[in-house]
Amino acid sequence: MTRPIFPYAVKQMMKPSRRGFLKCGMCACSATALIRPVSPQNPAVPYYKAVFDERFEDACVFATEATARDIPTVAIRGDITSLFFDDLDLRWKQGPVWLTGLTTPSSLFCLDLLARDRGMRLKYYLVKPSVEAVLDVLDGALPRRSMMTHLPTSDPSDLVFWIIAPRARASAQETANA
Amino acid sequence: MPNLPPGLNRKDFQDAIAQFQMAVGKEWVFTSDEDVALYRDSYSPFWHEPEDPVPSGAVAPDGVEQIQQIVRIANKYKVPLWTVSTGKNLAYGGSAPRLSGSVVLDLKRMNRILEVNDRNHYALVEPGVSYFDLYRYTQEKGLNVFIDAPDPGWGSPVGNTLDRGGGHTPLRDHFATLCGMEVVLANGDVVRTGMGALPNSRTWQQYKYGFGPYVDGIFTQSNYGIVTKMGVWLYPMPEMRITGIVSVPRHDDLIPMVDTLSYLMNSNIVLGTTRVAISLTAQARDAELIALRSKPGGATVPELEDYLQRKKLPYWSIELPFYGPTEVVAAQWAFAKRKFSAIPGVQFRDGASNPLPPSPEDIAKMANPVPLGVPSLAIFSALGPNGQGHIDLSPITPMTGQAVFEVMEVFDKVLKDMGIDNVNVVPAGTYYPRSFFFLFTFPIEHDVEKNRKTRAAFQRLVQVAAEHGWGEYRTHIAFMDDVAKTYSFNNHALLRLHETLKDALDPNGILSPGKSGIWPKHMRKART
Repeated sequence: MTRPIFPYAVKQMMKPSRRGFLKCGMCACSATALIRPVSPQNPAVPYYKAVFDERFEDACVFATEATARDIPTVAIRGDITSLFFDDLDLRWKQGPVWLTGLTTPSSLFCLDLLARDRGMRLKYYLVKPSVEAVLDVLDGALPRRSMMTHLPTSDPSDLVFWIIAPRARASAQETANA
Repeated sequence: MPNLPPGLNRKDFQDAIAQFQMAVGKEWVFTSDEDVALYRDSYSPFWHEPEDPVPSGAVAPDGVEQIQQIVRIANKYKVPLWTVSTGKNLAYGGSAPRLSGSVVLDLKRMNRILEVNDRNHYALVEPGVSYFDLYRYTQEKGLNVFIDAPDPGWGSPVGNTLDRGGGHTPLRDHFATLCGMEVVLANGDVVRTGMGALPNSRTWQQYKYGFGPYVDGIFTQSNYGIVTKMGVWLYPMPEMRITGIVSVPRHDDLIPMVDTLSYLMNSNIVLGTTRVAISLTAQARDAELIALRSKPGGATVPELEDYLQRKKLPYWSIELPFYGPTEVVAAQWAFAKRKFSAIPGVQFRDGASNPLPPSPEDIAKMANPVPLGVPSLAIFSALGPNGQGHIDLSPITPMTGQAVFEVMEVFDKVLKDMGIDNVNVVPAGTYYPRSFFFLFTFPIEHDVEKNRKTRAAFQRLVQVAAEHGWGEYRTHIAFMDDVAKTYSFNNHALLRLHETLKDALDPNGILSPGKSGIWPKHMRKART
């Protein structure tokens, strides 16, 4: 059994943890006006996790909204090592998955490069999105794929909303070997 | 529509791709724009410029036999291959080729851990194994070994060792841990080095040299073969890691301080990467210091000493790492203090103390747990403005206080003259034994003009460093020719030897053209 290397850093949040709930609750208080009635997420998108950087209020609001849509959430604080090593690396051995998140560009950068090796691609991103814009994507039709060589220019502390998805031609063999 | 390899027509390229597909399976050959784009350099200093290298495709074999087929096809069609292991060599080119139009030979699927031995402390791994993979394996098996990972830990032991990367712990000089390779040559022949050449050898990963000329080094930072297996030595899990901080009050104290550090490192008492820290760096935004530095002629050394004394700060400090049994590391720290006590005004402070293997709580306390033998990506969270990309200038200098003074003075002047003020400097690190390693980190941006300026400064500093006898240990693909040219003793005798080897081992020049400034014969003419 592998010992989690950063158990302190990852908070699995099918429902928010106490600390996460309090923290996000405080965030939500300041952003109540942004929270809208839940509409069912696109049924074609079974997100494995919604990743949020708990240092940012908007990301906490995003997590609350994701939880309300029955998307499991996971908190990070910039570094994605524990998320990768203790969770995604193990899950990806079974096959590619859909991920979404509201994180800093550096967190996305790492997840994007790691996901590429396991048959996934960065499908969509939006720099400094409004919560409304994020919810539009979560609730609405998936954006069209646009090819991205490099991540967007942005300040390191900007938040980026993103979706990582299995690539069209990913095969079981690809991930089985990973 | 894919970019084509230089000199190849579309039909031959398509035929070669079809044969690659037959060799490895259609799903493991990538030629769509979308897939090929992923092999471009995420930290390219040529963003939005035509010089940004773009591969023509990628092929991902699963084993040695498939690589043999690939090199035979590449020879037939003269397709240049650019080999990567995990392709995470960011700041040095990532998975992008030196020569635009090359086909990336992506070895990520070759990710088998063939052996980890915790009686003699070594591993035998394939190129696609990452430090995370190796760490997980040792954790799951409960093995008594300690991994030295570089920052970040998503690279591979094979790739990092071949690039002669460095880490943080007693086995931080990764090339020095290499023990035995398997290499596919350009003609498809498979060679095992060291004791691996002995059929049924039982010491391939225990004795490095075998018999006859020692050739392992020629496959590092080179394009002479494709390494498919490598032995790397691991460290027996130490009982403890402690650190001790040594601080001295005056500018010139650095000279005896570094001499003492050198003695302790060369005596194997201090075992690990450290660096010289200067308090002025942390005070850079202090108004009083800014005013002092802004006065005509700048601040004098006595003024800076006085400033730091009033702030109750040392001029220099070094955090010494010790790895080993509890009693031994305590004795080593005590001995180090005795040696440094010859410097008037020196002060000591106990630093971290971590039993090994580290507990999750200990890992949690570390901003970056790599010195505890735990691979990490935490460094990406600390990059700040360099998070969009960076390239690193890293000259090797003598391990003396005088060298530190000289490097800082010379480079500071060049950077000021060129109007470059956004370079992050990590001075005088001990990533490699018996020398200092400076790290000048240049940010890469989406701004063509800024990147041009950065490239010009980088090239200028490579030249200036060489003029002072400080050579680059490794560089980004964009500067490989610049750096190779500085190793010019006797009319570039070393480069001529490299080229002689290249022509003999790879006459068609199919393997990683341009790597480390080594070009195949038919491309050398065009480049001169």
